[in-house]
Amino acid sequence: MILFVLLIGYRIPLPGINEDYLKALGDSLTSSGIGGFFNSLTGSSFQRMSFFALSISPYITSSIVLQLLTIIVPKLQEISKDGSIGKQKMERLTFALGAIIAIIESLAMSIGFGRNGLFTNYTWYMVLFATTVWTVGACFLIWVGQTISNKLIGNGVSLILMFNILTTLPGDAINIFNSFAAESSWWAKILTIVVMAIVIYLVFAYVVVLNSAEKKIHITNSSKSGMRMREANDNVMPLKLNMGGVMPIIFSSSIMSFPVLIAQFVGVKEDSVASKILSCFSQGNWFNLDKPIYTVGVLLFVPLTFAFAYFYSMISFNAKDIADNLRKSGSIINGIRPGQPTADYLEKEAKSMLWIGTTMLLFISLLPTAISGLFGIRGLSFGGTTIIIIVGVILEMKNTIVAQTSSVAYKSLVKKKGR
Amino acid sequence: MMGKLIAKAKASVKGIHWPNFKEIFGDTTFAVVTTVVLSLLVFLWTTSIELVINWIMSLF
Repeated sequence: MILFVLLIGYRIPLPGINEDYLKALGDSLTSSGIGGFFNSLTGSSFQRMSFFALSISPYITSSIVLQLLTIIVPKLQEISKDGSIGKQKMERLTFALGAIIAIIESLAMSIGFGRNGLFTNYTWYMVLFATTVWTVGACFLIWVGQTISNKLIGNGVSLILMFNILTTLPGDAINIFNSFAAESSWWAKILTIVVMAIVIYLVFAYVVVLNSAEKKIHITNSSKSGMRMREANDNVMPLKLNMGGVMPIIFSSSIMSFPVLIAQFVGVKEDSVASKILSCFSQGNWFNLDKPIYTVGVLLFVPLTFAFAYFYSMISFNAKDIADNLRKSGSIINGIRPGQPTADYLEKEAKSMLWIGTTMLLFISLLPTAISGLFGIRGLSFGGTTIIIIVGVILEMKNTIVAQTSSVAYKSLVKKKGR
Repeated sequence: MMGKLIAKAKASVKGIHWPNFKEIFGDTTFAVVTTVVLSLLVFLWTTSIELVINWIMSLF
């Protein structure tokens, strides 16, 4: 319900916006190929320059920056390991950094786009007004996201991100349908809808497999009583196939779209060499049969994604810490000595999973890009990244609801037995 | 070279627990149905918001 109310803010336009420039900017972003990505992340509010134009993108950036800083700054590392208090502190830090990023982004947008004609009157007070509104809007959304996380089901920020993506889905479906069967007979139209439904279902199934596949590492947990071993329990430690989730793709897409976005601000001439190089960075130009040379960008995207996947898994999966914790709790991995050999074994397993997981992730990420490039569907935001986010959030929501329902059922059962 | 890579990939795949058909079917159907229902609701809601906003804008 809260999320539905938020959608009103996505649609209210900022007063004093030049509609013609807004349309031209939307077309330019779509043709450069980054429009779809930004639209899906911001729920089209960026293209409309509405009250929530930035949506929760500053929060995503601040989370990424803080996670990277955690490796370099020991103080942050201490905070992140400090249980629930540390988690609260990290949340507050993410919010504060998100607010700073929101101010910088809003200011850059209002000056950069404003100078080119975004506002009907480009004055200092219009810049101040737009910066204030966009910053407050972004901070409000982050606050709502964190409140939902603390009080309701699932991760609030992910839920907002999912709703942003959902707003662009019907438009995308119509876009795809028009590209294939706009002027065909009724039978061809029905066939197109059926084929589209089957392909989408298979893509969702693929993402479900990617999310659920894991390697189970068998652990023996033993506790001692005096001189004798009292009991030994066998447990399983799951290692996810896709450890970094969608993060490696978001990292590499952001890095590659950054120069394109900067070029939008400064304005690069269309026939220049810089413009041609930038075209290779835009996913919208890949797999285009009319200009096959631009597909060269994939050769940069693939190694960049592997590098980020490796980097991210090293941050989120600390084999040495896990090995230490296992040793302290008296647990061992079957057939592996505790301490350094356990850490080495876990690292080797994680690396081997990383190759398969990232290859599968790249396939699903590039598939929609390839389809839209080969069939000439422009401005598509329905990418592999967005499907991974949607499936991840929905399954997390489902698991939370199932866990809460079981907990309530168990409590009522205990209450009944107690009577 | 290629043979080595395939052997390495086979060794990595070994031991991975893939979800069974029932799990994949259940989760996929749930995800697809939820996505379709939510996006339709969001579409109807945003369209009605836009109509109201356009009507208010036309008054000024």
